[in-house]
Amino acid sequence: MSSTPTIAISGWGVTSPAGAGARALAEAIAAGASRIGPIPDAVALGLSLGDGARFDDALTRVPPGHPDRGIAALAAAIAEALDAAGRPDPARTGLTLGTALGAMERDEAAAAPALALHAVTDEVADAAGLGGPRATFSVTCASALCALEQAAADLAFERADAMVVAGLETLSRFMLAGFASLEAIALPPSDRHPDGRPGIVLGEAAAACVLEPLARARARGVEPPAIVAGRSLVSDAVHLTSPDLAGAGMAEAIAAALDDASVAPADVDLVTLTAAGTPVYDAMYDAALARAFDAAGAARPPRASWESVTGHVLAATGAVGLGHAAQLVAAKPRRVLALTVGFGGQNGAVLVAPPPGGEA
Amino acid sequence: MSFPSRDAVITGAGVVSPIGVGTDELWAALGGPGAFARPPARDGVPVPDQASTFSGDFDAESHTKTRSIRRASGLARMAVVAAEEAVGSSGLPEDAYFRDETAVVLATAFGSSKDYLEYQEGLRRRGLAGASGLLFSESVWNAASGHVSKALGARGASLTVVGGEESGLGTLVTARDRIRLEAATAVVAGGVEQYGDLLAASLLQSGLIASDRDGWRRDGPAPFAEGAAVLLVEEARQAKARGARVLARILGAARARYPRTREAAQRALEAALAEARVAATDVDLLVGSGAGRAQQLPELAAFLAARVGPVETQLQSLLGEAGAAGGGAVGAPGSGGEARPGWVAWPKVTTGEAFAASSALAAVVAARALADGVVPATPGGDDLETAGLRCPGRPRAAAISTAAIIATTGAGSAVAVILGAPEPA
Repeated sequence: MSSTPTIAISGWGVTSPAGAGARALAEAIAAGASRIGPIPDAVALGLSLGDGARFDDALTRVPPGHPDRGIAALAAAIAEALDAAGRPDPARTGLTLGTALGAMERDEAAAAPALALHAVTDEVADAAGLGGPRATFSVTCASALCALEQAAADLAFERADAMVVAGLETLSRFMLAGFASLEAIALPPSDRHPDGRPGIVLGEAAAACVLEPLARARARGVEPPAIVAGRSLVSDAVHLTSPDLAGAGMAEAIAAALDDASVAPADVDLVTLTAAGTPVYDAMYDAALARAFDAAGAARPPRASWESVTGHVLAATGAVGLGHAAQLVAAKPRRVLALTVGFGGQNGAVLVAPPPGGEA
Repeated sequence: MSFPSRDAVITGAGVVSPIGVGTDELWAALGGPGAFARPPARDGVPVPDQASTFSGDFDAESHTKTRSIRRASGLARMAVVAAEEAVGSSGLPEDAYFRDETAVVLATAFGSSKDYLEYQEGLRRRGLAGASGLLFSESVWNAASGHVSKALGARGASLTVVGGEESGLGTLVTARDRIRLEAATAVVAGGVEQYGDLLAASLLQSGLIASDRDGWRRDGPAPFAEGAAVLLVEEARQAKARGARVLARILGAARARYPRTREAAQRALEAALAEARVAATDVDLLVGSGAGRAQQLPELAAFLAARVGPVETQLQSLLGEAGAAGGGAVGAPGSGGEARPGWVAWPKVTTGEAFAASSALAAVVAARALADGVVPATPGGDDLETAGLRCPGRPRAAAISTAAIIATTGAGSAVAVILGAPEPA
């Protein structure tokens, strides 16, 4: 019989196009205030729509001359998350980071140190004085979910008292051009696309969630807003950049996450989605939710996404999704199923729920 | 806290290296001259004089029937062929159960940087017209693990860990975690690294690779190598139930971090030994994989000091290093040498520096040594015999019941894994 600890989300922080901090994002979402607009990199590339979302406004506190705006944004998110969590013992706190490109885009020449993505993890962990285990995952948009997997294992095996699960992506020409070349970016009406082309809008973010055993958080006098009740990662193993349109992998991920949490489909109150707006992913989500909920005789829960404010924030997505779900649960006790997709046919499902009462 | 008693065993291995494609080929080539040659480079790129590379992208088509490999990056080609060998040699039936229960964990230090830099170059020169969608999808760091999951039809988690040299061996820690936590019953785990001329030039400039194969003798690192090494890690009872040939049992596995690499290596080794309930003096074979010269010797010495006394000074003088490892003997007072001889293997002397792939390859070598009862050869290893070390220059038959693998990176990260010989049938 396995006995892994209940993992709490005891704090989160985010640097996003909505501004510095979790509150700025929550307020922008509540107000429906999109931060998507023209950005110079896209215009320079000749993208007819030069739209995206950057977090420049959130970087007002970055010391001038800092070598990398992404690292500055990440450091700010981690500090916010640790503060919100009531500062667990840094010596026993680790960091797992999900990032597709790390700080590579800061250096045109892309020297070897910049190509080593894990240098970012060391830099921010050292700056925050975190002495626990570290790991870096680069699994495109599922990166931060992989970081969550590692953090959960490190907590289960008591390698750390608390783990910071973080995600970072800056909006680079590389990503803009890449998604444009895959024809995945939304376009306004043009001669070629008289009705416009549906797709995603890219954004950037750095996000961090502090995870720790619920009992440990409570023992140090912190009442976490939410727990990770269940999680699952499933690969389609079908295509490198497109999802399985039948939604089988995501449906399995949902079923496994709910099973992990011992929660019935009918008890899910809200689903959050990422990479929404892309025809293939919208079709996949429809199929997957039908498989997971209709088949169980449960009504499909309402769907939500923060991407209307920030755009799709790539490798930071899993961490924003986790923190955003915790924020939703804190605002109103409910069960939120956060879904994330990524290149390589990755399907991630995490069920975030209110902490159970009275656990010792 | 209690966990189900799920042990992890290694039932398959696969290797793609310029010195040999396949574990048999690798095994035969260890101790030989290697495959060092002038690496390909465009005009004006200051690449090292020697590296261990395939000519062009690895010819995966000769080794696999997986059709999608034709359009895959060199990184993914190597990873897929190594993974297919690991799964094939394990005898694990690739049925629906396998597909649902198998995860992929691949480590890499520099990932798809070759394709990434090519994509960037196209973008810089020709704007969007020079940006190929195919190249973009191959230039993300998880292209290799994605292709492996797809080629195997493995539907468990597909993770790409980015780290230093230690990260390839570290995938065994992750694989064992997932098996113990019931997140998988089989994990395809290993490391992969690809040569690129701009990457090699940059690594040479940073002092992370040598310009030629003898660099390590001059107090420097090893020359750059590309390749993939993959292990099939399986839940022990499942392996036993299906009558699998077990190469090795994973007795202990630990990661450690410390500002000084030597201490990190020592801590990882101590933690792994404690978990394995094995004393340092009971380890028959050490396989080392460290990034850079200064990180290799201390870890070997720290381990060996525990069995035959403080040999660090002797190691340093033998290999011509003057004090780079810093002050003081490490490890406990020796056990006087009356213990069984401690064997050492250092595959990187033959293979070159393939970062995350090197430390995974060290695990492949250790597992093979346990299964075959043979210590593989290390070129120049005979020179060490006088120091009380047994680092044979030719393959030697030996009874090996326990092997330790230590992998380190210069940034103070280390992983140690203790492998045990398979239980008698």
